[in-house]
Amino acid sequence: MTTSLWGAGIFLVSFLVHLAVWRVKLPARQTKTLLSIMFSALGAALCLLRIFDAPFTAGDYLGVALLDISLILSYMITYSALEAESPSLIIVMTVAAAGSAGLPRDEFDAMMNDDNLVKPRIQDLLRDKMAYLEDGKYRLTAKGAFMAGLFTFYRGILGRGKGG
Amino acid sequence: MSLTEALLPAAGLLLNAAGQVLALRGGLSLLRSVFAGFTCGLAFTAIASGPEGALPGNLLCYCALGYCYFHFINLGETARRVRLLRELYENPDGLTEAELLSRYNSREIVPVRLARLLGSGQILSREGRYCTGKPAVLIMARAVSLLKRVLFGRCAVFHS
Repeated sequence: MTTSLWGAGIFLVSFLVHLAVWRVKLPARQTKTLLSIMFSALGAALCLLRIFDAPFTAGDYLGVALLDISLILSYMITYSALEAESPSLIIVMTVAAAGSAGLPRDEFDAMMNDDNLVKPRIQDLLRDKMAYLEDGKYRLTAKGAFMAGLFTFYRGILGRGKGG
Repeated sequence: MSLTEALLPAAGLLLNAAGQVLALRGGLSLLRSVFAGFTCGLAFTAIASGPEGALPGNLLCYCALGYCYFHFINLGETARRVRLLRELYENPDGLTEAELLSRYNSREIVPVRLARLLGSGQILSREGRYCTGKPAVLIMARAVSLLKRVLFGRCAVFHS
């Protein structure tokens, strides 16, 4: 139980630090900054526990770290979904914004275009250094190729298509 | 807590993934296979942790890892960025923006989602207009907007 409280507590503290930093200034590279804050907090907490000679076994340290890391990853994956709005949520919000009269189909079609739905995601790939633009062509960086390879491999195991 | 006990949620995750793949390959739908895999891993983690002190932390850790795995599957299924990455991966010489958009674009993205929303009654089509239907996805969208307002101080649709 103690390890659970430590793991969850470290995550909560790092989450509050992240909120405070975000309130002051939104970082240019949000994911990287978020990971730095959360893993630094974990490292610092484990060091403090060691320095103050907490009655922890190696398994306790591992339990604390694994719980905190699993919460960090859960938050990161949720955060990335918040950064890039889901098309389904965009559709529902756009229709709701039109009120009870509804949204004419031609207006809806005009709003749901590549400029709003696809081009910002291409820019995300550049910003997150997954791809780069050279001579008018987009190519993958090593990081982008790794991510693409990972999804291609796993979707192959699942027997699924390209997705999207 | 022993090292073995600490590693149980990770072992549960492996079982989750293996169970999910087998269930999907065995003919279950994607969503059902995810539930089946998650249940396998959860049962293993709960039973192997025993009723002692490690159980709550291990269950929380396993649920968090299971949530990540679900999103990993979901990202491959629906994320636009992942699809764009895959298009570029298949074309190592690179693609221009126009070439990329010819392979993946809003004409592919919107109809699939719209059909799903219309089919589930979340959106209604009446006299050439789209109206709000059942509120479930709208509530979810508003919750996401609220979270965005807390985190980013904005909630605008189409903000990139």
